[in-house]
Amino acid sequence: MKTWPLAQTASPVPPTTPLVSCHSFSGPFLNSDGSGGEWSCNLLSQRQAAISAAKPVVPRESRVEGGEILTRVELNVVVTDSGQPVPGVSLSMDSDRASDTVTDPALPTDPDGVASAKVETRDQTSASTLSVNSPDISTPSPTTFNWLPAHYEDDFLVTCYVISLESDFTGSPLIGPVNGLPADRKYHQAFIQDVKLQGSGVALDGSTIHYDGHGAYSVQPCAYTAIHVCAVDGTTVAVDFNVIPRRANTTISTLGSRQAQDRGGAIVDFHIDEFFGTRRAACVQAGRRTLGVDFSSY
Amino acid sequence: MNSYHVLKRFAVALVVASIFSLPLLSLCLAASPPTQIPKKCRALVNIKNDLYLVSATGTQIVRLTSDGLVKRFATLAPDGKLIAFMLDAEPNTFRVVSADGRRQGVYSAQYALDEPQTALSLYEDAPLIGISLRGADTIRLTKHIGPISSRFEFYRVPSDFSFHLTRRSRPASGEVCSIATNSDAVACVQGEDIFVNNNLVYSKDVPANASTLDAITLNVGRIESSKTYPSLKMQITSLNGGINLRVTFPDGTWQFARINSGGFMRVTVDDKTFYFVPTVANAQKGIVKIAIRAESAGSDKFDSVVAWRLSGNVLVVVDRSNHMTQLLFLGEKRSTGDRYIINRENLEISERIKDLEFVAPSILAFETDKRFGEIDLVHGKITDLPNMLNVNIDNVEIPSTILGWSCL
Repeated sequence: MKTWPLAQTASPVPPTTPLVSCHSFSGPFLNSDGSGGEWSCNLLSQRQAAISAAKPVVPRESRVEGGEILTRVELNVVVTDSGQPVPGVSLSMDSDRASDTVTDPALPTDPDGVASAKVETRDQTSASTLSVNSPDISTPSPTTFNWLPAHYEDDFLVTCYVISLESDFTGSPLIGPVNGLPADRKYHQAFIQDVKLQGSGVALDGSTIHYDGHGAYSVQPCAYTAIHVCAVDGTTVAVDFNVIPRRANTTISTLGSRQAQDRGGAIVDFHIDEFFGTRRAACVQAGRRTLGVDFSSY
Repeated sequence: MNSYHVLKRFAVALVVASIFSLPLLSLCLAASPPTQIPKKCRALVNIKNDLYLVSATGTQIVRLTSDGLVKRFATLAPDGKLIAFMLDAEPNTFRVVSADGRRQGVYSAQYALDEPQTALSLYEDAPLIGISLRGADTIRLTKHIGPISSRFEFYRVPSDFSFHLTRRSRPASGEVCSIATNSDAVACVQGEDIFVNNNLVYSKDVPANASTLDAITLNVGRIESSKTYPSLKMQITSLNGGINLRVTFPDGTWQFARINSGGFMRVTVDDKTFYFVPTVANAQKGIVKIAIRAESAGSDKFDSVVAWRLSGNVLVVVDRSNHMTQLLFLGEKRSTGDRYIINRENLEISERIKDLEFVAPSILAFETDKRFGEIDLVHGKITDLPNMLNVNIDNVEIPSTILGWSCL
């Protein structure tokens, strides 16, 4: 086996491919002294790609489709040859999952051999493995990452809401019958007004009153959420189901884990309303906050 | 007072003819091909935490702030003459700045309103979660109550930017509320209801396309199961003051309501809404028929927007279901008096509308997650305006998200 000739005169001559990628070529050669033979390149490519994946995010433009959120991972690819950065290389990337959408780097590697790519998916059920799909660049250690938890790119406005208590309104006049509620019962007027504002309230007899719309109320065993489970202080949050899927588990910074159980027309976009049960004073104290949120699981 | 009279109180002189004179009845409001943005349009953008008013070409620029502090809820008046915003560092304060950036007023959102003691007055000091300039000089404050309603206050911004705002109306509550240009009437949308001055004036009925799942007959006191869903149980507990219906769901949860004639119980579970529509078949024998209807239409609500025509006598809301989206015009209809729908128009905007306001007698400006635009009711067309613009600052083009447009 000959090594690549310094002076080549025979035909076919290898194309003007950089030396480091000549491993795919072979052919006859003829030296100036008349000697010759078969050549082949034994300088296998030393080009390697190292991929690092940033933490998954939920892009700000992501909206829930089919109950799923869009998540994205930014990829940083460094191409080196024998430890030296290789600039000017256009890269193609591959994921091992068909459900991933890979966006190849828009630009060739920079002087530091670095290029940026991204991968997006609505299927967060398994890990993805990313590698470079170029014949002359190996990826000795493809990067593998889990899609969850994913951090929402935008912080959320975080507020709180409570369940109304009739015992807070005993100074208000009694009214009845109230549309939808038992005909023989009277309720304090301001309490009924507050139930319309908050959605639910606990009457003096312990029953839970719900505002159904159409100016009518009903009685329920607890304050139902939009997914028809009882709202629980410390668990339930109301969200925009276009931004956080219903029933999704989230982690709100400084607050901890909460589940997206409730919704309402007053909660739009990046707004989370935390259920405080009957703790009205604590809710007033909490006020308005701006907090980061992680999407944990469906 | 019934809802008819409520609406009549503020609808001083509804000119029904003016609505029906619009060539809308058979016209579907659809997007027209992209056109060049009118030169008069100005956009509000936030670049590196400062606000700028820029021309449609992104070149003529007025810098409105230069403090670099995080801005929230930046809003541009429809005529483009005022801009308002909040600073993260000032949770219950907002600022209003003139379009030339030279004059600025700082206002507190916590005014002593001297309002009557109601449940709504509990939320006078609730956290401010939004501001919006409406009309030429009115600012709407949104204070948080809960998932289904917020408290809305409307103030007139003084032309000299002095400290004192003038209150334009009593506070109102709903998902969103809008004040008429020329009166203190406030209309609100909440779920399937529309309120004017806190009085219910219109509610969505059982959707016409809701399918009937079951129809059962039952006697007072007896518990009957649905034939279609055996684990769904119904009981008429009495006919005292209406049909007293208790429904127990497959998971053991239940709901009770006293339903008046023509009424129904609505239960939404995830994306499906069930309607229990009872009618008394024989009062003496205590026999009631119940139709169970359902619609897979979790979004069968109004969008959280409501707009007053500039004449102040007609409301426009966006009525959305899985099947179609319509503009619903509401006002007093003199010919019948008992209904408020005076016109419906199909609207080819699939995404949820986040803001809607009349900027001219027949022009509705709107905003969605994806775009801004104007609905021309006379010509039946929708003109889109972009939500991104390249703004040229110091000869560097900066792609910028648009916060609002003014094309007056």
